[in-house]
Amino acid sequence: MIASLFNRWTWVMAWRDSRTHRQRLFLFISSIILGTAALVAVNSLGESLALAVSNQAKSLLGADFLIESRQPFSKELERAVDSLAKKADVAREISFGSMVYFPKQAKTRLSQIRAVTGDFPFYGTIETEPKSAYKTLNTGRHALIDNTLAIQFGVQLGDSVKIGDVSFLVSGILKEVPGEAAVAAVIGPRVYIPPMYVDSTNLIQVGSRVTYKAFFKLPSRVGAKAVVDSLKPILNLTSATATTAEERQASLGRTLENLYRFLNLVGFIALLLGSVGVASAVNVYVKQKLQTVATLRCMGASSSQAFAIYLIQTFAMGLIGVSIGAALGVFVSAFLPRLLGDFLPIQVEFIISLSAIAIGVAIGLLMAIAFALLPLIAVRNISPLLVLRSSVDDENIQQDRLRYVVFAFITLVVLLFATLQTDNALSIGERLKQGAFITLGLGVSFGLLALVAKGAMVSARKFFPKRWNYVLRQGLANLYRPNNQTLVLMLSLGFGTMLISLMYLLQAMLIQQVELTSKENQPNLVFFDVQSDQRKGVEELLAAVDAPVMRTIPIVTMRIAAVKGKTVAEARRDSTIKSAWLWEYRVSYRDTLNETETLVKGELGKPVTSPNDSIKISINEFLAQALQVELNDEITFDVQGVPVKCFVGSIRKVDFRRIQPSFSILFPTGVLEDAPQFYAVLTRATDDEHSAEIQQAMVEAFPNVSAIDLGLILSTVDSILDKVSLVIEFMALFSILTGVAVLIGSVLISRFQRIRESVLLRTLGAVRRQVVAIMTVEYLLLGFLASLSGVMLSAMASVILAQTVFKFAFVPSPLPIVVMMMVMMLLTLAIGTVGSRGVHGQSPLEVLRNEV
Amino acid sequence: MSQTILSVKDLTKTYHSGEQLLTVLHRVSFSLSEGDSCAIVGPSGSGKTTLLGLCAGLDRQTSGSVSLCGITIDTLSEDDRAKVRNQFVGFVFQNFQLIPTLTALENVLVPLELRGEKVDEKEAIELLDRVGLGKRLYHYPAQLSGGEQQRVAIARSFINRPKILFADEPTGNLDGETSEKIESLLFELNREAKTTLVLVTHNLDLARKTERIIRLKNGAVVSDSLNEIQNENFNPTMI
Repeated sequence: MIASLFNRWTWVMAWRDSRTHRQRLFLFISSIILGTAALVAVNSLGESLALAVSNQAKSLLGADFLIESRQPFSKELERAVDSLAKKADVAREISFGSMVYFPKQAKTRLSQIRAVTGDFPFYGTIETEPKSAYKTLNTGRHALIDNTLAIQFGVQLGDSVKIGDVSFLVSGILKEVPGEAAVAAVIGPRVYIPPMYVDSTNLIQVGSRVTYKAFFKLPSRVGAKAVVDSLKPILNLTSATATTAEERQASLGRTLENLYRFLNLVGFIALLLGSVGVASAVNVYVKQKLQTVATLRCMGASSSQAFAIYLIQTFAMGLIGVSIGAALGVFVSAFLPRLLGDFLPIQVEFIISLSAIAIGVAIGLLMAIAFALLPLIAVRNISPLLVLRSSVDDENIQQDRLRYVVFAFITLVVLLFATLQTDNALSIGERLKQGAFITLGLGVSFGLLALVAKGAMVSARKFFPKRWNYVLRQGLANLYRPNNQTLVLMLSLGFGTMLISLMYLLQAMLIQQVELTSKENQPNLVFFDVQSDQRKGVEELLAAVDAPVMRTIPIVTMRIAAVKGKTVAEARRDSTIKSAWLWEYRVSYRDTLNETETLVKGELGKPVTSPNDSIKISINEFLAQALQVELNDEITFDVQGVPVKCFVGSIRKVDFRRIQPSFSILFPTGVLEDAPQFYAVLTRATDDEHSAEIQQAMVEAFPNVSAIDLGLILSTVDSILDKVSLVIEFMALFSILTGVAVLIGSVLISRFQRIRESVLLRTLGAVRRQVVAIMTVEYLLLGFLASLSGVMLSAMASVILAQTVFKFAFVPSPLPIVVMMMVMMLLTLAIGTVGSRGVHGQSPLEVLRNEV
Repeated sequence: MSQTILSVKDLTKTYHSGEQLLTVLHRVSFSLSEGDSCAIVGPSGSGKTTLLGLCAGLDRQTSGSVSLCGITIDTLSEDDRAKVRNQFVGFVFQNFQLIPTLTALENVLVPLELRGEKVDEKEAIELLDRVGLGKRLYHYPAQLSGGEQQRVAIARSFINRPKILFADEPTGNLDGETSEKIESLLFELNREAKTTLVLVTHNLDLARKTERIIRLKNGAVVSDSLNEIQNENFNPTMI
């Protein structure tokens, strides 16, 4: 075999034999162009991301390291920070959530308020419009608002924004903050105000969730890690954490790598589909070469020489195909950073990566050749007897055992590729397991698609509609024409359809899930941070705007002091401490369960009526796991300086998806009533207008009270899912376009056959309109069957996902499914029509004469 | 004594057709010496083409033995048989079997190129000229008429100076006038090259141009004579 590959005659013969078929051969290979392009584009993106993260590491944090806490820094920590300030630049930030109110637009929105002192960011810049807005922020009662707010509410420079008790002038629009992805602004738009006005806003009250940060820029020879390590003894005594730029870089690097791997997998699927197209097309090509090979074998060519001729042709065309794919991939890679821009906290520049090109070309060529081998190896078994008898050898062509070896090789390549896309922090065994799972998943998906496609074709044949008119019946029968590529087309178009419709359905499912959480008589608006002295006023205000007070929930903040007798300090010292020990808990008290809760173990604690009663708390099952506690275990809480000893009386399951406050820890009544607390008030708005009216009234009367409404959650979730879907749909488009390439190839390959059929029909008396109608029916049916397979599978997958992962009954909306199918059918018809131009204009006599 | 070029002993070929065993050839034996010409005739389904295929090493017999130029081909692998064919055998087929993507000249050269030897086109050009296609060297089969294609095939069959030529209905797809020309050409070249000729045909007139006629019926030899019909019941129109 090797000798044949290096034999001059084999190469000369490969060239000569391809003379009249080069265009056709190229069409076969064109189906791998897009898959290769996807891989090159994604691999280039991966390199660009890695380079950007490396170059912009420090601007991810804006500093060399930061210390962060949910409480004001302790005295020891402040002393340490002051000491560091003598040799390092320090900047401080205080941030908290609050409603912002735009009087001119009469609109409110929950936002993240930030106030910064010092020269932050030390690396990178906060981009604003106008450019100097951030620098001049502290020169007056100014505010910088996030671009999302400006767009959403039509806010302009010079408008006012009320934050708490203070009105600010909008002096700038925030475009970019170093280290933060634009998509974060969709969830929590940012507003910067001068630190001197924070207290005046009166927003920082009991229960407010405030984050305190200190940013540090060290002298060039001082390592951040060493400094952070030196601070560890102090940090361990508090709930503050320190993060270096390197740690942030590593964390972001891992996240981006996961993104890149996912996209790589989607791109690989396009290549896989294209390779299936190659196999099918080469199969047709080999059948057309049977007589030539038989003749050569008669003349004395060996089986390996004959095989080598076609392997060389396939390799050459494959090389051209992947080269074009690589060039296209480089072009596409220029757009990928823009597509992902909202999700990336760094600026990613387009680079031409030779290694990405090499990887894409190598994998593309390997897959194309591997799949082409499946039909090609049959060339080895073509008998020279075929020159005498055409009916010989179909059996031999099918039964070559080497096909199984090639098939095993392909499976191995897919497994290797899938394994390489898994997290490289895992062990080899774990990675192989995940890779095998992905490979199996791909195999099952293709298998199911093929099964559905085959089933549709078999059913169409079995229940052939004999009563349909001739045009319809002939159009259907054309799908079974000899050497048809119907199954492969259905596979490639169907898979692309499945991916895209799955995205739509998943998005619809997640939205539906959020919508379902707000049935009638459920609250759809929550006001929180209601202070004790505001409670009555809030309830009266709600009554005044016809909003029922459905529930008022008391909330007390506390921390864990000890678990099972061991204090936090002791646990830190012997390193048995868990992160859950350090959290600040927002806890409520009642004696009944609500509709989001179910008891798993134990009983809800009885009201405490005397100082000698044990306090039996109820905790949720995840927290029980995190704290490693069981029923009757002791937990001591620090309730704002007062130790309270409790026992685990019950463990609950909580559905956190509902739009109402849910609590990891519940106290019985009779314990916390006198503790400093604030409230959440639940109400229900009749519609969006009513909700806006209620919120506006609330922010005017009680500026510190924040609101979450279902409408906001829905639009936020929808907005984020739209962005995520766009990225995945872009990649899925490669699969669809691959299917289109296979379709175009198939139409052109069968062109001569169609001309013959058209001529024969016209000779027998069919008019042109009838012949065109037959072709139209054929392509519409093909598009219908392909898209039907895809949407059926995506619908099944989404229903299963909803039940097993999200635990609710999802009913897919028919409209997007129908639209998708219509689009696929029309696309298939359009391609078929364009590719068949001129077929129906051929002179019958000319064609028949050529036949003879 | 001239060399035995083809020796066939008790050649039998059976096929499985569903559950039935079909005997297509039954204990056929004959031999041909250098320069002999022989026609194999018989009605449709008599086993003529099967016999030709077995003799040329294109297929494997169920039992019996075939020897070409002293080489017993029974146990040779497919590739080794191909080598034997390249060395000693020429073919002319009913459907011409030219490679459509090669020019006339390239088609003729294929057997020589397969030997891996350095190829001198001169001989091929001369052969094509000899068959009247000296001015069509670079034309593709699609550009040639049926008769012209068969002439290219004949030139190809002689390029490797074969010891034996197998012709399967060489004029089956040609009209009467063209057939005569092709037949003359075939026999003329054969005589010049002193090649052993095995001709499968249902055309009795063509068969009579050979020295010997082997008649098959139902897979068995019913007569093997020197250029005459033995069986009084034999009706040429039945072939």
